[in-house]
Amino acid sequence: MSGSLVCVGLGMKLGAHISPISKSHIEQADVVFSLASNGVIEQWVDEMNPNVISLQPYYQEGKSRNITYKEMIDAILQEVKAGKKVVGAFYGHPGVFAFVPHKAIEIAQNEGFNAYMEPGISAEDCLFADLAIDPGKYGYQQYETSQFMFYQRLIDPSAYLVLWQVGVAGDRSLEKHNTGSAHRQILVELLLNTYPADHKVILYQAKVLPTDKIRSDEILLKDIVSADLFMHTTLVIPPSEKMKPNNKILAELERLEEQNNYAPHLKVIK
Amino acid sequence: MTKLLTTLEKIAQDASLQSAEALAAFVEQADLSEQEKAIILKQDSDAIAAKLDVKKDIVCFIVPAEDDEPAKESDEEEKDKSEESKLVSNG
Ligand SMILES: C[S@@+](CC[C@H](N)C(=O)[O-])C[C@H]1O[C@@H](n2cnc3c(N)ncnc32)[C@H](O)[C@@H]1O
Repeated sequence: MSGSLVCVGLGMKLGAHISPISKSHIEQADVVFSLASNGVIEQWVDEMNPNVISLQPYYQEGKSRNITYKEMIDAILQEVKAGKKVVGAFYGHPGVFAFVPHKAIEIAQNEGFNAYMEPGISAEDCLFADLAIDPGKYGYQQYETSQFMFYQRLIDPSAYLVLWQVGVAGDRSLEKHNTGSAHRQILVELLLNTYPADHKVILYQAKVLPTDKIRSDEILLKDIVSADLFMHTTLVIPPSEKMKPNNKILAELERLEEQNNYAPHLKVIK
Repeated sequence: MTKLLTTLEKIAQDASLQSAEALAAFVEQADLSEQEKAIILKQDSDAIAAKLDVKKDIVCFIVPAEDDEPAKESDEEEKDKSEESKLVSNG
């Protein structure tokens, strides 16, 4: 079958993050579907290929995003089925907290088309750089905020917790572009089961244009209720507790190493 | 591409333009109107968006809290699977 689909990442910052192969896919496509996080980025993608279609018109406040996502996927697949070389150009990484590209690729593959993804630089990658956070230092959990609220999760307060789409925290309808303080109050109460009310958290927004400033506002956990949370705000909760040694495992390892006559580096902490 | 957009792309891509002084010197000699130069130097992203007449209210959500499809496997199958994998890891 001649139709194909490649979903590529635009990165976060205009022109600075796109990979050579992603750019080349956009330039050589028969049709490009774009989903940018900013109007300037959208215009910039428009210039890369004469046939760029924005996915923005599918969004509507008051319309479930599940419908929006389905329509986006249908529009993409229609062109693939018409035999075209189709590219989905998504801001950030097309596979990070992004249902549409994953699903479109899955369906195209199931229908026998060549379909795959090229990675991009995500908001999270910028977060690691801008906030000097190494996910390997204490460990790192991340969730879509509403999913984090709808399901019981095990929070590890000795690791980072990062919540995406916090601007629509708790929106069960998927129809809102922003939820208010009542929804956020419920999120805060959930977090208070694990963290103190005056725990410092960070509201993060990466640069999208070279003229933007990074937002890294440190606020108290309890103040999330009244904070300015936008669609592109990510909530970062640093650890509130120290990592606790797992003495049982350390003792087992010590025994093992003694048996093997091996000098242990980690001793059981008493 | 408009000159303003090309200039922004260049600024974002060029390692030698990452300091305020280098940026000022570059913008000064760029083929832009005085107003465009001023908004870049003031780092006024809103004015840039207005000048380029771009769409506002761009939505950046691409993921639902949960997709509306039923889970692929029943709980029973899930349980079988995890028992299988236990056997493998024990073996
Ligand atoms: C549906 S996810 C898409 C993420 C995207 N695929 C990526 O690779 O970064 C949308 C969420 O990403 C985060 N996000 C998007 N733009 C951001 C920015 N400029 N700075 C920080 N976080 C951002 C926010 O949490 C936002 O609600």
